Amino acid sequence: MKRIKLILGVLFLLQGLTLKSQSVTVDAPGVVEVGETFQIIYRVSAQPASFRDPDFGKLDLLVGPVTSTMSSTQIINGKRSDSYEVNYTYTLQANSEGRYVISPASAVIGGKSYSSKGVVIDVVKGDASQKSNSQKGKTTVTDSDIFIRTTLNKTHVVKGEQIIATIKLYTKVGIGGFEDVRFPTFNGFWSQEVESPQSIEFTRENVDGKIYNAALIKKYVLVPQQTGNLTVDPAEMVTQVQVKSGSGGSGSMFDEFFESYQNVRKRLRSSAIKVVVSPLPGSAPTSFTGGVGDFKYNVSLSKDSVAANEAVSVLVNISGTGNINLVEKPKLSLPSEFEQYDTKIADNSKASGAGISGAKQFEFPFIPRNPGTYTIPPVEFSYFDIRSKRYVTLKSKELTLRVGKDINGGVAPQNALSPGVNKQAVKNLGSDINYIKTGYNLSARGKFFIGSIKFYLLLLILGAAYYTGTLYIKKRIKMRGDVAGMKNRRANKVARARLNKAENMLKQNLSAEFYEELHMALLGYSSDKLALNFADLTKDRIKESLLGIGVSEELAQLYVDLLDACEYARYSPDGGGSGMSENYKKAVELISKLEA
Amino acid sequence: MKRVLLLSIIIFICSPAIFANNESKELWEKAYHQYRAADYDGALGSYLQIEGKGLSSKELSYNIGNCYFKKKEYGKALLYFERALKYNPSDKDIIRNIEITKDYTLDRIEVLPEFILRTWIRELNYTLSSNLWAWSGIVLTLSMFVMLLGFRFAPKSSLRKISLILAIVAFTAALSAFSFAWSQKASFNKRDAAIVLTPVASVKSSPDSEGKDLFMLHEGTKVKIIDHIAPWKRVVLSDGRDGWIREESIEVI
Repeated sequence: MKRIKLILGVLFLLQGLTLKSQSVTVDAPGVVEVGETFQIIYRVSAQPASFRDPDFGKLDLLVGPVTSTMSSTQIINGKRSDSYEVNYTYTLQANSEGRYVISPASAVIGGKSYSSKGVVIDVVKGDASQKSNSQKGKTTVTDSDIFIRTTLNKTHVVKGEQIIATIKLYTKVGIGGFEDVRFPTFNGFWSQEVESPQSIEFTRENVDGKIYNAALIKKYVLVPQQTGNLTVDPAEMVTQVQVKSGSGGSGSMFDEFFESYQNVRKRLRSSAIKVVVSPLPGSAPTSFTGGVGDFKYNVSLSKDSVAANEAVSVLVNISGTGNINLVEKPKLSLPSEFEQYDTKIADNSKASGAGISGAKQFEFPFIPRNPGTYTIPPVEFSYFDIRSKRYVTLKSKELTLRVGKDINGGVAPQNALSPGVNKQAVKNLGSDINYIKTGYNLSARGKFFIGSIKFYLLLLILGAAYYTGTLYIKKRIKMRGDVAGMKNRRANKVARARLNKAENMLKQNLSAEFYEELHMALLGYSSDKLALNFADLTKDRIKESLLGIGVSEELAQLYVDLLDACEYARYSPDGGGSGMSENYKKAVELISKLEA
Repeated sequence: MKRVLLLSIIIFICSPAIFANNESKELWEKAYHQYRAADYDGALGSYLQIEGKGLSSKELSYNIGNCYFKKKEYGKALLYFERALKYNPSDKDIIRNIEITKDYTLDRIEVLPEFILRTWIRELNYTLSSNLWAWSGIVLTLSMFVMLLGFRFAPKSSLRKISLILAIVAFTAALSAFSFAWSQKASFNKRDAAIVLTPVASVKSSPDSEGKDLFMLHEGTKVKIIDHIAPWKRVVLSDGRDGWIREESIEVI
């Protein structure tokens, strides 16, 4: 068992050594003519244990596979590198037009199978004139022999959408060189060169069924900055075309060997291309800053927590493909407590054959002056999405920044002032209407209690209640036979009436009658007021009762004395005419005082 | 019998409480939440729905005004703030919102300052609503009658004197309460002020389209209506200028 493991381990190690980046690559022309013989070469980077031929389908295999081996060893600065290659070459011929698919070939290296890519070969009709040209020799060049062409990947775009423009040279004849190259100026576009090969490399290409050697001259990324119909100007150049010098035309076999060529200048001009640029939809969000393409968005703080008076910044990263270099900075609203500085912009976008892509960073530096916890509201970024043809708004999360106390103890000049000096008025940052009222309170519109039937009815009810109240109270008094109460209330009246009578007697100077009336008035008053029977009306009882209802001792004594005086005068023979008016005044005064 | 009468009176008095139903309360809550979520269109719709039921209050008009303000329809906002102000011309919130909304309107018209005593009396008047004043007047009348009974039947003359004085005080207080309630009702029912709602409206010298243009008014300006010949209304600005305006370009507060 152990031995098997060991063997497996060794094998694995060996395999590891040989496995070093093995591959099978294929080299084949993309376009061939009918009847043309061509080669397909498979390159294997190690000696394969076995090699499986690809399936060539309807293509005729003329020769192959022809195997050749190549190995080289390099030692540079003591570093050794080996390379080894086995080539399998197949020579083929196509008999009819069409598109041929050649299945991948596979090789087994070190027990593992590797396969190449599949190959597609377009077979086009042979160009008879080309053959005759090359056979008979040609002294002139036509526009179909050599031309340049500008191609755009789209011609209907929205403003800001990027276009890739390719300028290519197509030729069937040999070229000695070119000069006076004029590239278009691209009016109305922002343009950037993305590919500009140093040396011209030709590949075979099929153009309308004919085979040309094509070479890329320039590649641009264009971003339209205006709307409407824009024109991409033609590119121009002068080429030196190699043409056989018409030496004899005898057709002798020597001519073939000693052909001489001469350079003919030919001016080439591509055709102008119209591009229709439509404007962006009108309903752009407020946070739209001109981005068109497909973007990702990220907002972060350079530090989550800082000390006061220390610089921090909000970093806004926008990445993706599209006119990223033309995107303007998004709107950021920082708390007004922060001291803000100019935004730094770092553009890391790159233009390549596939368009512009990369990232752009906006850095918003600021310095918080006071400690506390601050929230930075979400930042919005909008762009126009090319694929879905609508605006997309990305929103960042709310950021929280904790600002601690200044490490240096706040020795900033403004804080160094003595206390109370650097007070400032509370600043108004904005004004808005007051908030809505939340208390629920509704009533029928225009309904007022006052002046309503209900209001008048209530008043009427009140009046009626008052009237019935008085009636009721009167009735109650009567019903209860509240004689005492009535007498009490009437006491003053009765007494006054008696006193009036007495006054009459006084005027007539009738002393006996006067004292009788006065005596009766006083007795009647005390009887009514104190609810005493006439039988009980002794002086002691009267005095007692008077004191009982809260009359002062002095008044009660005066009352009794007056009663005494009356009695005395009534029953004394002299009639006591002298004190009449005095006693009358006393009585009036006493009753008034008792009533008060 | 007496008990039935009492019960019917209580029901009669409490009828407004029965009138305000549950449905409008739910709408009110919904509108509040919509407003909080900054859905001003939705909140406005809910409030207008309540208004469509024939209900009204200072709070409702004020909130509708707020919704219109947030929708940047300043003319309508002012219209509803002025309507809310009719319920209480001393409400600080409404006065402030009118001031702020006026900053967004175009016309600047000088307003003459008011005599301070009038302001004070008005502030006293609007410390209670018309209905509260009327009810307190009723209560004062009731106490006046009680005092009168006391005056007539109190056993002691000193008590009777006090009752009479109190009855006189209650009578004058009831009278002023009723007059406050009346004046609030009268000023609420006055329909002589309007707000211009079209962006621009021309004021003409006569009530026909051939009339000479005197001046232009813009959305949100408050005018006083003094005459009416359909379809024209004669309006006066607070600085005294007057003229004829098409009635559809203004809305009565």
